[in-house]
Amino acid sequence: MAEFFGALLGLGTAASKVSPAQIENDGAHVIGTYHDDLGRIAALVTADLPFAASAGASLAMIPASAARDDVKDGSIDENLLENFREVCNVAASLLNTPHTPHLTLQDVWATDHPDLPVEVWDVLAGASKRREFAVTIEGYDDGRLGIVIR
Amino acid sequence: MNILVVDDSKTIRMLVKRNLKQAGFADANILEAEDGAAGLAIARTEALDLILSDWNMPEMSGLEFLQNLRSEGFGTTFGFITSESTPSYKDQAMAAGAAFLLSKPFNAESFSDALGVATA
Repeated sequence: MAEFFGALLGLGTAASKVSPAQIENDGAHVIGTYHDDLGRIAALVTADLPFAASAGASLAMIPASAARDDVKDGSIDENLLENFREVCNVAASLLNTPHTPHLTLQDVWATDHPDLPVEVWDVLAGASKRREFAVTIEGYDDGRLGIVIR
Repeated sequence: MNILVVDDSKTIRMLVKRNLKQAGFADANILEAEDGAAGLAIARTEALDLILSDWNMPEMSGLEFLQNLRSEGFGTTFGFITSESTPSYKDQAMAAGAAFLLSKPFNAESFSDALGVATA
């Protein structure tokens, strides 16, 4: 995981496995939804606001202060969300193997978005596999990233 | 040297351009397009030496872009930079005439290696 983000962001990173956090519809997390070839949500990438903002900012070399401002405000701005969408897009490579259904990123949502698919909560509740990592990005605030497989 | 970078993400286009400069292509003229259709339009009017393209894009995918280029007789060196990295995608890319498929995330070393082979 650290190697993945190190290569993507071009910065020093560290990651350690942690217990998955509770995710609510309060906007404190951002979720990437991945569809299989049948159009079903088959996996999620979850990020708490600090990680989504830090990863989104660091990808485009935006100062850490911009990410901190978003965290203080309690929501990720459009620019950082767009960058985090690209992080999630690249993270599809973590989900796809020659022996599993092909998954593609469908969309990225704050958990308080009114159009967040209800199916997301079903996937979270009934996940067959869920891993979460505390991730440090050099020069940015720490956060948590999770991978959820339906 | 004219290089076309095709990706629907402005941020990724910026990262590719940055890595191009680090890989020794600082003097290259770098053009950008946000999908295969826009890339094809540029390829028809500019003398390109290298095309670096994402795979999944709106309007026209990277694979369709490459197939269209080849069917129109353009032999420009073409590399994919994509999060699609399974063997079946690599096989499709090579069968269509790509020089390489570089998986995202890439670092400066893997980027230089792929470009070095493609432009040798």
